[in-house]
Amino acid sequence: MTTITFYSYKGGVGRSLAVANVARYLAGFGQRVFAIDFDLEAPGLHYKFALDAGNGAAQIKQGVVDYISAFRTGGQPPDSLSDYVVPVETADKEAQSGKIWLMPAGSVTSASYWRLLAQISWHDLFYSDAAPGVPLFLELKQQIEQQFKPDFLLIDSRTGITEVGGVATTVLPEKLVCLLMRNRENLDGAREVLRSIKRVPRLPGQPEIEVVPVLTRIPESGEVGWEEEVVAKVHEFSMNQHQISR
Amino acid sequence: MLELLAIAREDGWAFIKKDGQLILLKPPYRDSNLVRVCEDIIEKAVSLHGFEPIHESYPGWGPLVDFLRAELAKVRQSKLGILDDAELKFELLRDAPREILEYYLHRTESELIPNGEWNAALDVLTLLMRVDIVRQDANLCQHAIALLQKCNAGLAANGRNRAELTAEGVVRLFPGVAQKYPVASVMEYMRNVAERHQVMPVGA
Repeated sequence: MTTITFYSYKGGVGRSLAVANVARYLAGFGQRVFAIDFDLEAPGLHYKFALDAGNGAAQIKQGVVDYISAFRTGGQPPDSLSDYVVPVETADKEAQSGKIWLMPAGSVTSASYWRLLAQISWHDLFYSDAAPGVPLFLELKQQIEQQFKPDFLLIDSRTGITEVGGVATTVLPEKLVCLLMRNRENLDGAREVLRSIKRVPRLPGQPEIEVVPVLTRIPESGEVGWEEEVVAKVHEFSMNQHQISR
Repeated sequence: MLELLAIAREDGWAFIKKDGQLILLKPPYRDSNLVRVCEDIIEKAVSLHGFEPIHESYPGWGPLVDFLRAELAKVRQSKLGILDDAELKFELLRDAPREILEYYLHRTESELIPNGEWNAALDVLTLLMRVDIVRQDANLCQHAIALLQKCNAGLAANGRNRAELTAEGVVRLFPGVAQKYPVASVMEYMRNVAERHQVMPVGA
């Protein structure tokens, strides 16, 4: 299983849409794909899989927030993920062999979702004595691998700097797709985050995280030299990353 | 200036005169519980309803309410033997109708237990189990016992996990992780995150 996190420092760059599109694209090649929504404060990946209405919405009963909550109250991770995962319908050509599953953030139209989210103490999970957050999320990844046997795990990360975003970008992935808009705010923020990712130690057997910067929402100006300028920006960004990693 | 004219110490009701107007005040002491009344009612209250005549003046509502609350607490302690908050809650629940008792069981099950508020849930359930109606009604009693067992299991699990999230705890709680990574490395990673107080170590 290859784990790819989609991250953006700021919102509105099309990150969730990219996760959904990549999932469908991979499924079209017969791959088994598991997508997970870690954008707990502004969940929306289920919309991109058209699970926001009708049967789809009805299927979503629990998700990541409920999984964390079950650990908090039960004292151990739930044995089975089946209650927290919904299958995503694939187009006919994809259905021949590929599959997509989604672990949504939760049932976001219910008040209990927001109450449970507010009750998660990130401090207790990560910064208290013997905080169990890191192994809890690693265990979730292992459970996904063992119970669904996907070829790819795609993580829709929270924007900015948050605990759950940190898990998605530093603890779990082998590859990180960093979506950027071409402005200083986006580029500086993303650069700082990517620097930190290079600093984070990896567990034995975990490869160094491969970062793939993707420039999005490029305005089509049609001016002479525009395309070269965009390419140069990406190149400059990539060179900076290369220097950082060394 | 407020003039306290009569008081029913057991329930905290009081007749007060303010600017020539007679006012009845009852707990909880809020503006909405201030009722203007006729002069003749106070006589009936004293002769028929156990109000005690009293003549004391207070500079404002604050000191007056403090006095009424203190009197109420004194009576509860001496006459009802209510010594603490739990006893007061029990007094309130003791004669509650079945629907109210069911409502508290339901809230305990749907709000406190799912949120891991084991001690708060235990407090409510312990009080409920002292109420005759709960003990004598097989359904209510079974329900309360089942919830008590859930609380005990939850508390035990929590205590165990907090105390034991050592290497053995990681192996027991996160078997998939223990199979994939050396547990000592996972423990070191956890320690690093906790020490720097950042999952993603941003900034210099």
